[in-house]
Amino acid sequence: MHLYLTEAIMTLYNSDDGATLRSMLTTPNGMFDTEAPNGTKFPYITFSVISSPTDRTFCDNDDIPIVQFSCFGDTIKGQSSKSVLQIGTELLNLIRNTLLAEARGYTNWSSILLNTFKVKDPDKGWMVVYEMEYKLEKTR
Amino acid sequence: MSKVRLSWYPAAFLSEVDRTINRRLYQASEEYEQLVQASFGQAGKPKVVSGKLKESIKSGKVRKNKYRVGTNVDYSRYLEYGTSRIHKLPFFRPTFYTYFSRFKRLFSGKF
Repeated sequence: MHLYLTEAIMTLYNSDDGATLRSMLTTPNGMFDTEAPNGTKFPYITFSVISSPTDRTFCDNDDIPIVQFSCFGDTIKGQSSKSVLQIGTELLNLIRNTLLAEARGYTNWSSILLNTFKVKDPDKGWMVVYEMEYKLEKTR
Repeated sequence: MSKVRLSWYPAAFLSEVDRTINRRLYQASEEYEQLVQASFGQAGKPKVVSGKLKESIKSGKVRKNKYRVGTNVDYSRYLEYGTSRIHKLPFFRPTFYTYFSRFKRLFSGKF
């Protein structure tokens, strides 16, 4: 489910547009679908579709997935490091502007940033969460 | 020619609107609380181990025309959003989004 969206995000991340973001992460493959492999060092990003409320759609051709992007970063003296917020800003620029141009079979799309907040990670880090809603309209 | 006199009582009207909004907000928050509790144990949602988290989900009035549904259990945020070591099992947000139309309908009826 939502393979198109996962593909679109990863394609975008690996494209030229995502070069700045890639350079900010510890490893070039610093963005992961759902969860990062064990031992991945901060900073990195994970994303996953948390909801696809079909009863909110206007018709069968529309889809409104909600995606949670989580940026994990280091702690410096108990505070979130500047880098995790910078990464978050860069991530937002990337996914808001061009993401679904890559999505196949959809003619129109729009995105809304629903929510953003910072959570202290129990593993001595910080996590910045961005919740995006995408409205996708299929080709008719 | 007879005169027609129209009287307008804004205070009474606004009071009725307020009461209706309050009643529907209360209804929505109660429903949301029940739906979140009922979602425990479903696929992709937290399992009930001690029942502490499930029982802690409560709705209540914060102030005029503002209700809140939430929990005071510390680890709930880790389950909802995940951490670098804990896989997330969101139970609050998906329930809201799934039943969004239902909540919306509560407010679309006649006053």
